[in-house]
This record gives sequence, structure tokens and C-alpha cells, in this order.
Amino acid sequence: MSKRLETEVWPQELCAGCGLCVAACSKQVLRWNGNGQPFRDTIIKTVGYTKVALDSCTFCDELCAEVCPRLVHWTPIDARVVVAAHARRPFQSGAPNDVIKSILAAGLVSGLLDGVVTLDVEPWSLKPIACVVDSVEDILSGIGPQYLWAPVLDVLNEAVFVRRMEKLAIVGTPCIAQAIRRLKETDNPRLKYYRESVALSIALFCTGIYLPELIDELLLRKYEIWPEHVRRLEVSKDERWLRVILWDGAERRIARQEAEPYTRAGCASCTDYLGESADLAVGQLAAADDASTLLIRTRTGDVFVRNATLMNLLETDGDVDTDALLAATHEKKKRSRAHALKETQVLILDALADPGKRDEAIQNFIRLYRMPARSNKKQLVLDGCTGC
Amino acid sequence: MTQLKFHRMEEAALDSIMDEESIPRVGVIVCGCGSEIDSVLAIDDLLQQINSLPGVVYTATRPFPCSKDGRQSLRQAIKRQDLERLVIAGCTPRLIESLFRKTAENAGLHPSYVSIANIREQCIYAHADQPRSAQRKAFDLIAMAVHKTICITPARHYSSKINQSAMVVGRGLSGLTAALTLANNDIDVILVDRADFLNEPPSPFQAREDNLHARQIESVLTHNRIRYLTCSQVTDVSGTPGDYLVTVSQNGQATPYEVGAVVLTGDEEVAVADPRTGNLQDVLCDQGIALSPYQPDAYLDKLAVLFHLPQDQDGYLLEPRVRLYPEAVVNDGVFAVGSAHRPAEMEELLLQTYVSCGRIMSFLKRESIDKLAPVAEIDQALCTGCGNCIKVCPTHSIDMIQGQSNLSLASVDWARCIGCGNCVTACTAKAIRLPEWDDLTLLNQISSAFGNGYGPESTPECFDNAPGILALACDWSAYAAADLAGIRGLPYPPSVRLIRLNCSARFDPNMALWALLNGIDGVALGVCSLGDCHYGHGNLWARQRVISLKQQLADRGIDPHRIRLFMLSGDDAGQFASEMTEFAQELRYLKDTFKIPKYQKQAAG
Repeated sequence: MSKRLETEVWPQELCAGCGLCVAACSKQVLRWNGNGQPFRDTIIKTVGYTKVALDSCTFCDELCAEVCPRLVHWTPIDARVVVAAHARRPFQSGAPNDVIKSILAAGLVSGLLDGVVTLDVEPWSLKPIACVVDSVEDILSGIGPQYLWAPVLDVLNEAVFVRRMEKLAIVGTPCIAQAIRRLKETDNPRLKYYRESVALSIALFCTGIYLPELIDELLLRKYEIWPEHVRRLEVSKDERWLRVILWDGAERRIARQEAEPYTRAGCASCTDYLGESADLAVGQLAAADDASTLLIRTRTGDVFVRNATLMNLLETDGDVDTDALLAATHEKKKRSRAHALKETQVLILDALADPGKRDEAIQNFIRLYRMPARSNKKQLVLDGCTGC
Repeated sequence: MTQLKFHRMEEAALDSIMDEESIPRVGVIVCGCGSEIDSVLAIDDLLQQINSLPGVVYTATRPFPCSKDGRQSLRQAIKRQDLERLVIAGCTPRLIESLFRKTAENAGLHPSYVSIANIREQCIYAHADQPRSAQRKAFDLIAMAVHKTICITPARHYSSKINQSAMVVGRGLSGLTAALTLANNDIDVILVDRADFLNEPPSPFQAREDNLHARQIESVLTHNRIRYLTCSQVTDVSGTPGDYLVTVSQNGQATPYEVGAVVLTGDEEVAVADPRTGNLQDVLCDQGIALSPYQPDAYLDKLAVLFHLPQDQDGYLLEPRVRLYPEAVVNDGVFAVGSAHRPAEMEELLLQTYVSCGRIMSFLKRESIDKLAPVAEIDQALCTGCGNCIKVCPTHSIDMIQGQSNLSLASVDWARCIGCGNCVTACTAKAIRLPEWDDLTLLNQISSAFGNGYGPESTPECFDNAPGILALACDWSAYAAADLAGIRGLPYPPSVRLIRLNCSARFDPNMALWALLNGIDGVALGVCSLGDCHYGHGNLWARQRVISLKQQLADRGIDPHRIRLFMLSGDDAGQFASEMTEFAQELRYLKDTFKIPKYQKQAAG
């Protein structure tokens, strides 16, 4: 019985919305509540006239706690190589989504992949969807991730168990890559099929992902941009603007500040900007105008990039402004303090029930709040004290 | 190709900020209050104990420090002893704090560095029949004040000029009256009208026998201090109170105007047909709304968004402090009159308008906004740009501004900040600081409420056999009620230690957790009754936080009754005393079931 998510993740607004817990739940009792928040459904069993609520978490495999990316601290996988990447034919573009498409298309054609789980948008309503794609055509015609949230790994069951894919690429935000990394690091036999089906994880640089309400409330109502006119959303290079690129080639700019309120709550605590757990991380920051920054973190990632280069779909050259990358990482790393504060809060709660943890809780608290040193000795002679 | 290693960020050196040498020099003056205090307490013993507190270099007792001579000798003491902090143990800070702060300022000490330990109302008056408990409590209260003052952040001084002009939006009865009243008092007025009233059919208001409307229009058009903009709308607002930059679009052309104050009024006058009878009512409204089924104009919604004003469920502008400051909205410098607030009859409308005009004139005549008050300060080095503070700010005074790197960081507009502390509580990285009420001072007070160190070991076992209660009290309600309970001599357990909060929005669940971790048995939070909060909805925020904290405690098997929230008004001394007594009884029952074994307490038996 694991209710760790119910105490440590969901109420603390840490949930990244990756969807892996929902996909992996061995009892299938985790569901989405409509606001992008997973919750535990109660199953009611009817016996005659009696209705019994089953505690479905009893005797389960605790897979949710095993896979949740928010329950562990991640040490970044050091980038082996940092390059500027540019997608060649048929895209001829440096946009991160096109670079990713090149790598995926090359992988699918050469048989390194047999499917892709990715975040995409429904082109008419711009509604974000998670989808499983297995053909190059679909990869090429898709729009790709648009900084709009949908539970990507929700469709993992479809890919692994229904469509029996064995060499999957997962494309998403850094938190998705973290979830995949957790999956790969666990040795739970019940998660074997997922673990063995994932070949590659690609992450986009991310300062936070927006809830789909952004489209209706900000784009449509405030700026009167119709979703069907929008070709894609982009974040400008300096991260100050949300660029809305329309089908007629025009571009509208929305200040990131205005979009900020639509950021998913769980993003506020994320410290990972550069997709530090993914095989490959792609983003616009620090690259030239017609290129993207590509961080290759693992050998797997290296193989896929080489493959795409050999197939003449991708071009990797040029330098990247590493200082900008480091500055950006630092900015998000400041959040580790927020993490530490939340963890201390949980620790204090535990310490109240368990005296063994008390000293640690007190020390953490003093350190985080920088409280002045005090001697714990009782120096006072309390003459007036009674009752002893 | 570049090789690049990303090292894990080293956590900044988070050593304790204060070592022995950097503790400021504190002077403690215990007031005898004639003979009221020293007749109950053993002052000499008390002074001896106080000397052991950190930083205390000077202790003294005076019969009346608040008298003219007393203040003179305080000034001398500050100068002679080179004191950096001053603690005065005497009567309630609500009564005396501002006086002593002025005294300190005259002696060259920053006003924020003066702290008051309330040993008269909370100790002598309340527990006169238990002198030993009173002695113990008096020492604890003074220790709390000392610990508070050694790590306090002083409030900063802010100042800005007020532009001597006003803008009136809408030209209803109230709009015209306001414009004329202000203009007659030598204030330049810009009157913004959505339509052009010269070319409009007369409304019932205009057709009234006394012809008030026609007379007003004539005066408005001829007045040399009124600038009348027809067919124009407010499209954008920026700036701060006293110095707004309002963009008005007239015939499609946008012009910015600098004004000091803005008056929002209803727009058009329509007499309303009674929905039951169909007869025209004698009710005269600014905007044609007599009964709640009618909604205010959509233009008002737009204005509310532009000026960041809260609206009630019908769409009218909310008066957050309707009982204290009627006809006012949250922001300084923005005023709402007439049907912007609610539908009103003509006489009431005029009365409202005159009240508001008085306010506007006194606001403008101040000439500059000077503020030596706590204003939230954001540490840019710690801010993570999560945006939590923006969601909770009642005055919308926080904005996200692009930092040096890829994330936007929060920044506070001091002129709009009312210092409630809601953002400080909501900040996940604790990057916001509210001077005088910052986390460190409050947590440090909590640690010294019963003992001297951190952790339950340092908390002495006996609180006169009563459970230790920490009461976090909103200054406007529970703290005032506690003072009154003391004055009236209403009994409550002497094991209650009060900590003054500026507003219950400042209540951070971490404070309650820290208190429990320090071995305090229960935490009470006294907040204003519903609708009475001076800062909007601080009490509701506090209630929400208490509910979720209780849930978290219950999840871990700790009785949630250890946290208690009560709502009361400032004059409800009886309720305060009874809540405290009840809470103590409840905790006494819980004490045996508490999962925290009080190490030494139990060992000592």
C-alpha cells in the first residue's frame, strides 16, 4: 500500500503531470480529475444491497511511488557533447521541434525505433494530446510539442501492450525524461516491459509548461487569435516572448509574463531546465538563429544523432554559448531551496510522529531559515517556576 | 564541438547568520507602571534573569518610561550605552509602541529596532492571582521580545511625489459632482466620458425638475480646471498611486495622461423599471441598476481589470473595508463612487461622492507619499519565479519582471503593497521578506516562548502543569482582544504565549510546525471575523492554510486539534479567554495521547 504520492507529491503541488503513475498503477485506480491532477479512485463493490468501498491500494505493488519522478533527487547526467544542430531536408530549419523530428524520422527509417510517444497538438483547437506514432509520415506531419501540457506517458500502455512496440522514443519535457530515467533505474520485475520498451528519451529545454486553458483564455479571448489560424507556438530565444506563428506567416507576440499564470503548478518546483535526465536535450537557448542547441548526454543519444547525421537529415556543427546554458541552469537550480523547504516541512511532520528524525528536522530547519545559533543548555535559573 | 560539464550546484553557504560577536547591543527597560507591575513581579530577579539573554548589555527599571522625564532618560540611556536595540517591557504595543518609536528615532535609533514586551495586559492584569506564573511568563515575554529584536529587519523609508490632478471616469451624477467638487478645490480634473452627452437624448435624471444635470453640465463645460474628453475610454493604466499614467483612447487615438488619483463612477443614468410592476421607479441610479438581477456595465469589468480591483459576485467593485472605510477600494489613489460600488439613490449617491472627494483631496494634499512601513522585499538571488506570490497578493502589487537570465522574477511595487505578508507565506523559496514581521523574527520568538534553545529538550517541563500554548494573534483582532481580556481580568491559562502578527495572512504553517517541534503542545491562531480583515481576505487565507495543515497532521497520526483557529473581533475579550481556557483543557486531554514523547518530561515523571 503506497500513499506516498497522496502525502508527498499531490498536496505539495509537486506533480509534474507526466502520467506515469496513472499508466503504471497495478490496480488501475489512479485517474485524472479533469484539472490535470491524478487522484485515487475508489472502487465500490456491490454485494447484494450492500456497497463496500474497496481500499484498492492494499496489496498493490507500489508502482506509483516507484516511478514518480518527483520523489527523488536527480543528479544531472553530464553532457558528453554540446552542439548546434540544424535540420536538413525536408525541414530546412533550426527549430527544436524540427531537429527532434529529423532524429526520430531517421530512427524510424533505419529501424532503431518502432514507435514514438510524443506530445502533440490537435491542429484545429490547439488542444494538446499525447499520441503514439509509428510512421515517418505522421512524424513529419505532426506539429510537435507546443509547451502545452498533456499527460504524455498516459499512452504508454497503448504503445507497449496494445501496439507491442519494443523500441520507443519518448519526447517531452525534462520531467518526462526524469520519469523515464526512474523507470530505467528500477529493477522491479513488474515494470520490466516498460523498461525494456523504451529506447530513447528526448527532452526540450523547459521553463515551465502551460495548461491548455492558455489557448482559450489568453489567445482567443484576450488577443483574439483563433486556434485554427495558429501554426505553432514558440518561445523566443531570449525566453521573453511567446511567439504565436500563424499559418499566413504572420507572427504575434505575447509577453511570457502574461502566460505565466497558466503555468502548471508542479512546474514551480522543477529544477531541471536542460533536460538533465534525457538521452538528448534540445532547445533554442544559446544557439544561433537557424539552429538549436543539442545536448547529447548518453551513448544511446549519440547513436541516434549519428544516425540522423549519416542519413543526411541533421547537421551538427558550430559553437554554442555555454555561458548562457550555465546561467540558465543556475537560475532554475535556485529552486532547490524551495525543494529543501518543502522537504523539511514533510520531515517535520514525520519527526512529530517519530522522535528519531527530530534532530535532523531541527537542524535542517535552522539551516534553511538561517536562524541564529543558540545554546541548548538551560542557563536559566527559574526561581518563579512551580509545578515540578 | 565543446566539451561541457555541468556540476551540481553547490548550495550557497547557509551558515548561521549570527555568531556571538555580531549580536547587537540590546537594552531592556522594565516599566514599573507606577506600582502596578512591580507590586506583582519580583523586578530584581527578573532583571537578573534578563541579563543572561543574548545581546543584553543594559537593564533597568523605571516607574514611568512613557512620561516626559522617562522618555528623556530613555534617550540618554540609548546614547550613553550605545544601544542598538531597545526592548521595553510594559503595557501593550498597541498603546505605546508608536510613542517609544518616536523617542528612539529622536535618539538616533531606527524605529523598527524598538520592541515592546507586553507584560502588563498579558501578564500582570491577566494573571495577578498567580504571581509565580506571572513572573515566569513575564520573563518569557521579555525573552521573546529580545530574540525578536536581535534579528529584526528594519522597515525602509519610501517616498514619492503625488501628482496634483485627478481623473474622473464616467459622467453620471456622481462623476459630474466629483469633477466639480474637485475642480472647485483647485485640483485639475480630466473627465473621461464614453459618449458625448451634448448629443444624447435626455435621461430621466436630466429631465428632473430641479434641472441639476443641466446646471452641472454648464459648470463643467465652463470650468477652467476641468478638461472634458468626449467619446473616450480608458485603455491602459500603469504607474503607482499618486502617479498614475492613464492612457485614454479618444476617437481611436490613444493619449497618456499623468494623474495623481482616479475616480471611477457609474456611467449613465437610467431610471429603472420595477421588474414586478413595470412602473418607473423613483430610484435613481447611476447606471440603471436598482436590484441585483441587473448587472453593471461591461465597461466596469474592464476598468476593474485595468485597475486590479476586486469585484463582488454581481460585478460591482468590492469595498474591502466597508465597515471601517466605506466608499474605498483596496488601492490608494483609486476611488470608486456611486454605481461602481452599488446602485444607489440620488441622495446617497451625492453623499458618497462628497465623502470620496474629501478622501481624494486629503490624499492629494499630502503632496508626497511617505512610507515607513513594512513593504514586502524580494531577494532576487533567491526568487525562483514560481509566481505563487502574484496569485495571492490582494493588491496586485507584484509583477513578474524578466531577470538577467531565462526566468522572470517577482518584484514588488512598494506604493501598492499594504504589508499583509500573504506573499511571504506563500513564497516557496522564502525569498520574500516583510520587514519587522520576517520569518526569522517570528520563528525566533517561537523558539524562545518557553525555553532557551531549539528543540523539545530545551523546553522546560513545567508550564504550571498546564499545556504550553502558542497563540499567534492578528494585531487587529485576537491581540486586541487579549489586551482587553487582561484589562477586564478575565481568567485564561498563564501558559499562553502570544505572538503578534500584523495580519493572519502572515501565518505560515511552518510556524506551527516549528512550535510543535519545539515541544509546545498546541498552536492557536486568532483571526478577524469574516469580512473584517484589514487586508482583504487574510483570515480566509489563514483558515485555508490551517485546514490543510490539520489534514497533514492527521495523515501522520497526530491529533489535528493541536492546531486551533478562532475568529473573533477586537473587542471580544470574553471569547478570547474562553477559547484559550477551552483549548488548554482540550490539550490537557491530548497531552497523554500526544505522539511526541516529551523526553525529559516523561523521564522526570
